[in-house]
Amino acid sequence: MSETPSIALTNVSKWYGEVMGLNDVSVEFGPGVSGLLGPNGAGKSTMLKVITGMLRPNLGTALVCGRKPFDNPGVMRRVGLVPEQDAFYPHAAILDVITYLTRLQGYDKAESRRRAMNNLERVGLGHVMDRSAAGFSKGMRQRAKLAQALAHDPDVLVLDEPLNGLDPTGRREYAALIRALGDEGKCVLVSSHILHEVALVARRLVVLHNGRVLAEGTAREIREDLSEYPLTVHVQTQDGEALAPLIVSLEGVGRIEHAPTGLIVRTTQPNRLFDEIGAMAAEGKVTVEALDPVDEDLEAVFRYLTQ
Amino acid sequence: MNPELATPADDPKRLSVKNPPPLKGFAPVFTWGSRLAFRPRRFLLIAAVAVGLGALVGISGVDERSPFAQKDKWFYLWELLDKQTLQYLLPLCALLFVTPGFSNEVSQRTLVYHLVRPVSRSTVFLARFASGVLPAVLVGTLLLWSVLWTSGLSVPTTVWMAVPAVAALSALLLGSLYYMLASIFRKGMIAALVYTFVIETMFIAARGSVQTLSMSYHVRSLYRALVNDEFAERSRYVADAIDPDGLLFRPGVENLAEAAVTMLQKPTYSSGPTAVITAIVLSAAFLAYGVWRTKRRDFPLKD
Repeated sequence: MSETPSIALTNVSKWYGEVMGLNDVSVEFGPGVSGLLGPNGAGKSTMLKVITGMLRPNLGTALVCGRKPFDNPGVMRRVGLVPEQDAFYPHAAILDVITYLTRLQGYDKAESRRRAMNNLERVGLGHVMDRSAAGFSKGMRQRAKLAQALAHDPDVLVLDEPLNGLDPTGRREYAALIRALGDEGKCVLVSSHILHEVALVARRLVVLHNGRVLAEGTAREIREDLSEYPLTVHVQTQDGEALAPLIVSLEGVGRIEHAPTGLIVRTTQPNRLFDEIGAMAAEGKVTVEALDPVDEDLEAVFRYLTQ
Repeated sequence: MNPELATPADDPKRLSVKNPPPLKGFAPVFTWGSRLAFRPRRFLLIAAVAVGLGALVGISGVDERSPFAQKDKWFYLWELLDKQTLQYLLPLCALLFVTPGFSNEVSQRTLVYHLVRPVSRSTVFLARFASGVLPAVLVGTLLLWSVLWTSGLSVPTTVWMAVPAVAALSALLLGSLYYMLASIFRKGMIAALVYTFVIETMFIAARGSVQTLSMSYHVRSLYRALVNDEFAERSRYVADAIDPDGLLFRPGVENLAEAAVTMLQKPTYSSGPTAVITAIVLSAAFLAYGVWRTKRRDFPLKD
């Protein structure tokens, strides 16, 4: 048994008939917030369902806190889940629903109710706790799902598209809470198909596409691993007119655009471009003030990886 | 959101990943399931419809225009209960209250919250089954009582008292079968309806030991074991059938008389204890298979 909250997938494959949900995925998550990123159908939800024991891998091993999660209720004491789907009992007050779900963690009725109330207050639903979730907005339902996931103070927290439907203020608050949970040492895994959502909360990213892990690390680390992918470079120079014909024939260079501050160059071999321009500048052929990659942000990384 | 209200850190014992003891968590799931099953508006509506249907059946038995009613109300009431009510109406109570217990959690995707709690799948499965049985028994009893009450006959206490036992056996046996079907088929209610109105009818229509494959056979066995003597005492056809003066072969009444004789031939049906034991064993087998499937099954719970 692992005391440290952790998730480990080793060579995990999961398929539905002929459709591959996960394809030989090996990845680990420890304390802190990690982001699971990928377009719709990439396998994010399948991975989260394997982690939370709803699906059994066809191949490979999934471990949560050192235990296999499928039909293993013991390990679920340490797990909290915010599912993607809005599933709530429509005929019961949200306080009663969360009290019931917290009772299943082994608390008595009074303690379950106290925790449910506390967490509904925590997520900003204290004023509507006697109402059914059926009348809630999407954002309120997201908060309610978070409240049920936090009520037993889990140290592995899995959040599937948690920021969907939240207004900007709610999104900021929710993201701050997720970061705080990560800072407490909990293993928090957040999935999303929207980059800026993940960027709000996670330092470490795992990019999934077609059931495979395309990359993992920080955004910068991932970008550094992608030397063969095209990069857009801003060459700050007053000699754009002279520089363009010199670099157009370089291997890997694609489109060149003139900009007020120099050239925007797209290349598949950025290191070579940097070396050649550096050499030209050293020889005095051109004057170059700076070379800046302009698309090292998450959006570009994601686009490169999934294209 | 208010981070100041964070739940305090948990005690280390609760962070253990040891599996809970069997059926741990049964009580809260059962209580919650009962709360859903006894939701007032739904429960009262179904109970009212059941009582209404029962009343229709009972009134049809005393309708003086009915040739059966003119000849032998007691025998006709016995037959109404034995065939139409026990075979088709009573199973509907189990269908409405027991079948949806677990399958609704799957179709509404609320099962997801149970799967990430330290409660075993089998506990959730069995507790939701149990929570559907009591309302099915209550409504089934009301249904049968309404038949007796509206029949206009002075039904003996023994028959009134037999009704809850018959309703309970029906809810247990047919409920567990439907519950198992709902764990196999995505449209569990439809599978249960097909079973009740097609397969059961085929079994009952068959002759000999094939009838014992029918689930309602065991319910009807208990019913016959508990009430046959009371009805036989009061039925003119039964009296005729056992009358040594030859009334049995009176023209025009052969079929009914034959049925009355069959009614008394208890050996063709199981005895009361055999029916109950068989029903319990079958129910346990259905539930065991349902648990087995539920434990092995993936639950993608997609939108």
